[in-house]
Amino acid sequence: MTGVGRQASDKPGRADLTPDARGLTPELIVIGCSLGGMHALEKILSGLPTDFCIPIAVAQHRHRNSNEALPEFLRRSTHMNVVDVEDKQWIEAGTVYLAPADYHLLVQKGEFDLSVDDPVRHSRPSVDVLFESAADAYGKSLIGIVLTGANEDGSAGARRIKQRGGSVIAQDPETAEAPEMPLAVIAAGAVDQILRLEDISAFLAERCGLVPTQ
Amino acid sequence: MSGVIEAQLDEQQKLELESIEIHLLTEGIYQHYGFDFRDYAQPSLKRRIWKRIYAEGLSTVSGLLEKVLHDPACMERLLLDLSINTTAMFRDPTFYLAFREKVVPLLRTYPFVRIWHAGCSTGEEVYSMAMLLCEEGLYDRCRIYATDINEAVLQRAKEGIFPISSMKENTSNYIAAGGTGTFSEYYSAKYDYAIFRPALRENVVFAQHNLVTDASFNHFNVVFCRNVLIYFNGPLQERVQKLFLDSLENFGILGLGKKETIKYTTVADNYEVIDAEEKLYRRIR
Repeated sequence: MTGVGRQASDKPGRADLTPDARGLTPELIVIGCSLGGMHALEKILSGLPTDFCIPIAVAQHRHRNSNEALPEFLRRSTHMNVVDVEDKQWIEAGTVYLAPADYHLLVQKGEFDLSVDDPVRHSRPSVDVLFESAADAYGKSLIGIVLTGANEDGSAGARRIKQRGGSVIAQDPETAEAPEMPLAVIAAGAVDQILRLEDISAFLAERCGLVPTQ
Repeated sequence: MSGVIEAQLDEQQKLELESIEIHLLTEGIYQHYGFDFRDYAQPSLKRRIWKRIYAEGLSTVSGLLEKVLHDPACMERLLLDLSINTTAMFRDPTFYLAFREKVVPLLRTYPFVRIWHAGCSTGEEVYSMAMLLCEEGLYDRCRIYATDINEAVLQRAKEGIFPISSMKENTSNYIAAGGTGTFSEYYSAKYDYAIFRPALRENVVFAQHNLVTDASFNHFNVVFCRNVLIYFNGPLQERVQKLFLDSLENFGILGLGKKETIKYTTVADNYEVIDAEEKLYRRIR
């Protein structure tokens, strides 16, 4: 057993990684964030090595009429392609996919779906909706990351990722602009690793068999 | 170690079983009631089905199958869950702005304009289009065919009564959409409701139509279908796009939801792009 509780409270580091976490290269990474998320995302994306190409899907809470500002902002910090998802878009390497404003983002194997179903926990896009569908589609080949945010979105989704055999990272609440979201997912017992914001890129690079830039 | 593998196999088996159950549910509904959800996109369909399972106090998809087959009232409730698409007046204001600036000038050249609003749900966007056409002086020569699979939501659309609480959002959308009048003049407030002027639906025909199973019923100059196709899987989107193509006059306009695209269908070559961002296309062949 991986001992979720113990790992969650320990200092992060390579020695703490579960056998799965060391051995299995993920096929998809899903990230959920809210208040403060833009800068947290910028930090993570800019820290990824230039040969990093695992697709990343992001549900960042944003205003319903928000436009291209978020993808444009993130494009400046990464070599990866950053796009607002269109319905039925294929999941391809080297791309960061953002849940578009006022839509839920859902995942099938190799492909995205959108929905305009009611907001979940007052949010559309909802982190739970992204995480739960991705967990069903990608099982243990999925990493979920819960970043800064002032609500509890993402906890149910993180539990589903764990249930399906994937791994979940929470941003260390001390490094979060709004700690509620990572605190909630830690409290839900659905976390394998707690990492400081500045350590997340290096962790992802290692999980994908690459050398971190720092 | 073997425990871990078994646990994961278990999860995989659970997922496979769920997928079988959903297949049986949609097949059963189709054979018994004629509603065809078999080619709906799985992730959102699954969420909606589970929402209904919990609301009925059940715990499996099979449990829901038994209940909907033997209890038509339960089927009614599931149908509402599966067919209501939340919407707002002037949803995506920039779409209406683009329509006003780029499509209205084309429509002015027509003596009569037939518009099909497919999947109109509770009708907010039908009333939005009616207001826009009124303000552009085109409404009198337009007929809007507003259709939906669901009789209950069509009834609400026909009434044109919406919660007053949504009027703040609607008003700001209206302004952002380039409205040239005063939004509050389109409705009268009564208690918690806004009752929209009946004149707005004078040239609107509300009718039940199922995009999945029904054929085309007319030729149109404009077809709107916004945020409905996202609930369909790829092959069904392909079929419905062919239905729209067959229903559009040459040089007819197709308007989709902001994040929907014809890119992944074979009809893409039949259209030219009027506004890539707002998903406005014109049939050219």
